[in-house]
Amino acid sequence: MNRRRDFREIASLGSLTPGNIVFSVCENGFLNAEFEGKTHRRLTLNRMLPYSAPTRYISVMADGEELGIIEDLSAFSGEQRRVLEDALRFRYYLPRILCIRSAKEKVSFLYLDCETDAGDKVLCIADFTSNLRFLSTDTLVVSDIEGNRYQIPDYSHFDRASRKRLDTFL
Amino acid sequence: MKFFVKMPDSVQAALRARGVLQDSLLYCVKADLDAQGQYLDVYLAFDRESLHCISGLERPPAKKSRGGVSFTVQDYSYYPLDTIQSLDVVRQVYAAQLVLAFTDGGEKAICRFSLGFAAQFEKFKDCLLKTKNGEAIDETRFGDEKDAFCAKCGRQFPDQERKVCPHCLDKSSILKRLLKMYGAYKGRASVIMLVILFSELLAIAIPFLSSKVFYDNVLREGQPLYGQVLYVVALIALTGLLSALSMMLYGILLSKLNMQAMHDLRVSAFSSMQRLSLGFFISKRTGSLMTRIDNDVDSICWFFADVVPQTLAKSVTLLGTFSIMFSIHAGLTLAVLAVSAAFMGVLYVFSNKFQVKYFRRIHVATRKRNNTLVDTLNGQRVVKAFAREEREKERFGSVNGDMRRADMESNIFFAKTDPTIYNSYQIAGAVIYCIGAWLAVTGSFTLGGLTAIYAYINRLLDPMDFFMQNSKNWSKCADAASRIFELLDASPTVRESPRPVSMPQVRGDISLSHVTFEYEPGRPVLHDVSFDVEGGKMFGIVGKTGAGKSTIISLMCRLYDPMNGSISIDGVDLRDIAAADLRRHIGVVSQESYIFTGSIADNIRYARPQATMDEVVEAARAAAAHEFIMAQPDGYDTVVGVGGVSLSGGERQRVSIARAIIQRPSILILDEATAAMDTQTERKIQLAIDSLKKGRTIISIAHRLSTLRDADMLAVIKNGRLEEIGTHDELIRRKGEYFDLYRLQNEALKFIGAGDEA
Repeated sequence: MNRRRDFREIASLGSLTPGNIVFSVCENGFLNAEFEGKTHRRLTLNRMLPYSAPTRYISVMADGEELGIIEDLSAFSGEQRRVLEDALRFRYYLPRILCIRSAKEKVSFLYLDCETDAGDKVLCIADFTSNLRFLSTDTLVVSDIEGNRYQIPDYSHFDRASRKRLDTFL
Repeated sequence: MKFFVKMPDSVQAALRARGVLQDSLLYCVKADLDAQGQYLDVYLAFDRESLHCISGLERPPAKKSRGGVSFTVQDYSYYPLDTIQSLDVVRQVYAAQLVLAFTDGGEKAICRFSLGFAAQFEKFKDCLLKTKNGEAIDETRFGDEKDAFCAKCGRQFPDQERKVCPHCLDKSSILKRLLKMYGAYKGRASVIMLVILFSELLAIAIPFLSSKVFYDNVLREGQPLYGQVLYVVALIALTGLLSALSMMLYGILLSKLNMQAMHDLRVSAFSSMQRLSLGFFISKRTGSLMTRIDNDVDSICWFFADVVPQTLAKSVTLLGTFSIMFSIHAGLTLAVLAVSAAFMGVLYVFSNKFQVKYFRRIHVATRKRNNTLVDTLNGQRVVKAFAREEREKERFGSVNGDMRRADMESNIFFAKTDPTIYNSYQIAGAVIYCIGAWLAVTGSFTLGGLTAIYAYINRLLDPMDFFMQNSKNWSKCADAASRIFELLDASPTVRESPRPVSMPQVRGDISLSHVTFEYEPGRPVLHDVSFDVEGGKMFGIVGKTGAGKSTIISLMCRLYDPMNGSISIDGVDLRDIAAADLRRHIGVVSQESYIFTGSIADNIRYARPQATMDEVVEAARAAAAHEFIMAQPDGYDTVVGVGGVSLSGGERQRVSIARAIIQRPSILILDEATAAMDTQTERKIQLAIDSLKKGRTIISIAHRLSTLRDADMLAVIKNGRLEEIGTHDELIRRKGEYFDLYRLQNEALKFIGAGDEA
């Protein structure tokens, strides 16, 4: 009963550790867990700091309620760690742009012909001043019109020709 | 199969090869990822028997080829409809997933897709389940989906509000459209063109008279004009004077036309904005919209003012100059022609490759700086409260620095390239002059011809320079024009029905049926909300912040249309009601009450300017605003808003309540209308609202449950879903969400010693 908790209880992180929760994956890739004597199905993981600390502060939700927070993924090891990392990769589907073959602006839309680690794709970006953003100093995040996101993690080490094509729009 | 995506012929053929006939398929959607997250084109379609999934790689047709998209099949599977229990669209953070639930309890993840397609998949799911259960499907509600594709290339429009295909729209079509706009000023524009043509023709004649005619005819013995110095000099002076005078006239006429065109364009851009739905303004920043009205219109008017008339005039100058040069010496002219062509080529490459980039950078930097400026100035109260002036200074310094850098880099670039290009031309000109001089020494060329050719070489610079400047500015203008056209073309997402139903009177029965809505693709705010509001009753909506209460209100006022489901008043769908009637019958007092610059009286009668002063005062009294208005020295004439007296949050709310009351709407919506008021004022207003209740439907949203004590019916919204509905007593008895909220607020009041006020 959420509302009966006192303030300290509500405001505390509710840390999840290998000692109090056990994760498992079902055949369709959904994450389940044993927690406080109950089996929770179809859990969702949400990163609190998806860019600045992707492996820390991960909120675990079941049916819209937060079970608790994994403060550091490194507390888990072996199979449990792998299950969590897979689930995060699945939930935060974020293809990495490997190179940009062309960047063209057509009627205020920016078209990027890219090679990504998920295959080739032509991205269409609207309002590129807000949809091409540096999150940390060197991570460029691209959002396209279909609601997808892509990343270029080491922009300053990104392929030189690609950078030259993109620089005009940054 | 009209919805939701077009299946390419190659995919249809692949399905046909597997015994699935195109004609039997009902609905189709397309996913862009396989279950592992690799890019793959997956088509899902169903007929009355089964759901078919075919995946493979789609390749767009080669340019200019007549063939359509090619499709290499990787996998095909089908699921009989009667084994399917449900389809589940699972939204992840940056992508979504489709999961099939079977009647035997099994599940299967079929594919993944971009989040933006989620709404389409939801509709597909709806259609599939309805078909399976033999229910009817109302296709009229998918109207927008049909024209979501470019008629020319078949690709989906990137922006559904704009219906412009970037692949099929090019700069030449922008030019054509600009010229078409120019047609509106035909008469005056043609006068301007004639004047500038006249001026340019005279200007071309001057070097011919002053060099060729003067040296070869006036100063040479035996020629017909020999010795007629005064006559020829007078002729040259007169030509110069006439050319200058017509240039002056050109300037005057042009400024008149220019200002007119600018005014017209600004007004039409502004009216286009007013026509658009609220969603447009939410998605664009005010700073960028201001740039459009301001700078972009300037850039386009430059096109009207300079480009069209001058292009004509300068082309005539170029042609005329070359013909005169040819008549003087064909060989030398050919050399000049070669040099000029090379010169123009270099200019073209420069302006198209580099200048566009520099201008783009400056534009982006300006926009960023202006946005930061607006941001900081609007947030001054918070900046001061947290003493963050230094940080804001730094922030502004940083974006201003970006702009300085962009400006500087661009200027340095032009400072380096411009003189290089011009000097090379001058050097080439000097070489030609040398050759001419050598020809003159050997006697095959006249002195007058040589000086005239040299004068013309220098004269050519002006028109060529104009074309260079133009191509530089032209990219700027094309960019601006495409943004303005975006504004002019944007069609409102909320459109009045072609056959609107007029409703002179309404009872005020409101009914929501299976309403789903999202602001951003893939992030639904309301899921399948259904409830009925009885006319003439007070209906309360309760829920936590962010539950979707205000969104319900926005949908009731038709600021947006629901993605799925419908809302009706007295049984008529909102989408069919005439917009003017709808606005007249619904009055809203929203959370953020905006006060326009003007007197308080004018603000109160904003919705009904013809209201009498008696009505204004009556409304102000009902809204408990009369007292504070009379406390102002200027009373109802007090100027409020930008530059006027600033009102407190509670005062602003009272003015906007009065504004809604004076409209005499049949449906009055109060969205946290009394949140910024103290309890006493709220009581007063509630009394007023009680008196208004007669014959009126009142919908009230409130955090404080005490505000809703008189509601006949209450709906509790939680996470975008309807959690409970009933009267206060029913909900208390149910001991659900409402009971919890009620008890929490009571406890809080007891805690601060306020007794059982709630």
